[in-house]
Amino acid sequence: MTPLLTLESVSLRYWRGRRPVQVLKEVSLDLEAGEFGGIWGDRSAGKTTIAKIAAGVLSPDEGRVTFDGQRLADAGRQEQRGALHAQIGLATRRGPEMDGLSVEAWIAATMLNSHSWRAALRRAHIALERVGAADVGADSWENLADGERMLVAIAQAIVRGPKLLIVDDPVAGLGASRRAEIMDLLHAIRGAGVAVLMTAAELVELQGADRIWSLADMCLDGPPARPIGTVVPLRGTGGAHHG
Amino acid sequence: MAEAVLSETTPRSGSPLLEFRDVHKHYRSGSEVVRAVDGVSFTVGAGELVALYGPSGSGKSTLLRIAAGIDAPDSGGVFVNGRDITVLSDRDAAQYRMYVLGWINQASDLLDGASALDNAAVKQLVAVRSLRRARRNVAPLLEELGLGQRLKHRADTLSMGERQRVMIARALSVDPRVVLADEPTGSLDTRRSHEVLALLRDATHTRQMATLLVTHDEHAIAYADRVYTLQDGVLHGSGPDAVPTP
Repeated sequence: MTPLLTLESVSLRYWRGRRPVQVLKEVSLDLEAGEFGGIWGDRSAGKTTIAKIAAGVLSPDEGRVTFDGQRLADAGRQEQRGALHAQIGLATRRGPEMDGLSVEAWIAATMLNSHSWRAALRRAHIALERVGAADVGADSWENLADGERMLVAIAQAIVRGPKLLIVDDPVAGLGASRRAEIMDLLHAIRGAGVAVLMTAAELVELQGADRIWSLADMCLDGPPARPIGTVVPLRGTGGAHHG
Repeated sequence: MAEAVLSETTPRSGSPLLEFRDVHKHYRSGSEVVRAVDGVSFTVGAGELVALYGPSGSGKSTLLRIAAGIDAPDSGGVFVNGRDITVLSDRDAAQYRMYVLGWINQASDLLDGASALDNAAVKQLVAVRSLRRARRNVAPLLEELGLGQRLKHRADTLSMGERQRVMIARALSVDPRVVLADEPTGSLDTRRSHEVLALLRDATHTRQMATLLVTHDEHAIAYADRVYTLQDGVLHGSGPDAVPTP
């Protein structure tokens, strides 16, 4: 069976002035359709970088990223590339910080290549309902609490009905009930047939994942205190400077 | 109050478009009081680009958030057309950000899944409620900014310089009276930085906006009509003579 997502020997470095900083070095993983995968690493291990590369919004210096049998970077014309990327949703904590846009309008804006404004707003509202955040649809991003922002980000990521949802550190810093709400939501999305790839700094946050990859330079010292699935080190390493 | 701010889009004669009046904002960190903004007063007139220069942690971001109506000062006010925007309700403040304010940062707020045109048109779209009209209104702006060939390209396929210009187009799309630019050149190389700064300066002069450019980029301040420095929350002024020639 062909994996839905494959990262093969992906490497990336940033330049800090004239000094190169290796963020990822020959990282490989693959995720099956409908699978829940976790990437576990410290705050500066490169989790966000992997999430962006897997979503196709950041290109690696070396290596290959394949989604549904096609290389993301080789998806040809703009329209084909757009169609492929539409099948991947990326949820991060970034939003329209000071634009005064309602979050419903912000989500709707991702649909404009295929929907009228009114239809896009309706789809955005449905996505917000699905994540349990319809009550904040008229609010602007800057007025939302952290947990609400994550729900809205997930709504924005699933509004186009992706095959893969990538969520970057979705529960860090949240209270217990909000954490549980978001994790239940992610598992429900996975239950609907969408593959989920989630990053986390705490291993326990990945409880229930089918597979967990460690972004640490070293393997685990021993088994985790609670059984949470199989933890395997990524082939390759994460750097130590960027999250 | 928001209606008053929104309705008065023409600056009153002789009054500055944007005015910080004795703004204070202090935080408590453990037993220590951090004076993030400490008695800051200055003005930005129509058609004027004012640079606020300072190192990280100097209070620049706090001041911007207050000017955007997101955070309230402990005392003092920020006046747009003579109206204090720090006392607006959350919803009215969002309207102020939507229709009066143009916000430019390092282009991280763009929607990667949307085209350059739609990213630039989204504020306009909320205003006119017609996708076709919004796109038609914003396309010339993107062309003016040199992105005429990139209108339909997804944001994540654009270079950082192009993304920055999309951000500028979005900010300008609602014909804002005030523009806040937060380190807009932070992720650009020198040549692209100069291009973006020149665009911002020219738009400010042409459109008679009040633009506040917050930066720690020494090149950026060369494009300003006036420059202030912020150090530990305290403003230090420098007159026009101190502004280097670009």
